[in-house]
Amino acid sequence: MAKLYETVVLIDAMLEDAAIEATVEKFRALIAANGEILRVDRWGKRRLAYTIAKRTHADYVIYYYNANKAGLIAEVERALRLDESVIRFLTVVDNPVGMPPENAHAAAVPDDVLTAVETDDKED
Amino acid sequence: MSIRRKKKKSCFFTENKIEHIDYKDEKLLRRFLNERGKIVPRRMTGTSASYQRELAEAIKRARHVALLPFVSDSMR
Repeated sequence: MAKLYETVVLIDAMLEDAAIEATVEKFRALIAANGEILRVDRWGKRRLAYTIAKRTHADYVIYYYNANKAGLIAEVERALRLDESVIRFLTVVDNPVGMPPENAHAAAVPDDVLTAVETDDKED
Repeated sequence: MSIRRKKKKSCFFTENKIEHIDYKDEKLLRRFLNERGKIVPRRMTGTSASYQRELAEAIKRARHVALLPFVSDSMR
C-alpha cells in the first residue's frame, strides 16, 4: 500500500490573501506533479503558540498525499525551505489514523483567533 | 505511617480506546500539559507507558508547528 504522507505548512499570515493562495497552489502543483493529492485541509489563520521569525499568526495548510516518485518528499521539503512565505513545515509519514474526517477541524478553531487576524488586516 | 489516600488513576487513552495520538489534536494534548507548558508525568495522569511515549512524541510535534508552547507562564 502506498504510504500516506501529510505535510503541515505554516504560511506567513501577514501576507496578502492572494500571495497566500499562490503559495498554497504552488505546493499543490509541486506535489501533484509527482504524486497524488488526496486532500488539502485549510485551517485558516491561527495564532502561533510562540512567535516564529517575529510572526504571531500563520495560515495552516495540510496536504495529504501519496508519492509516485522516490525523492518527492525531499524535493517538496527543499522547496518549502527556500520559500520565504513559509514559516515552518512538518511532514509525517503513515500516520496510523490516516486522514481526519472532512472539516473535522473547522469548528475547533477558536473564533477570537480569527477575529484578531481580521482586525490586524484592517489597520493596514 | 502513610495516610495518603490512594486514588485509582486510569489511563485516558486506554479508557477511550484511542489507538493513535494525533499531534493535530491540540485540545486533547493540552490536557497533558501543566500551566507552564510542561508535559505532565504519567505518575500524575495515570497514562500507560506506551501511550505516554506516544503522547510525548505528539506533543513535541505539535510544539514544532506552534500549536502548543514550549514554555508559557500561563496557558488558557
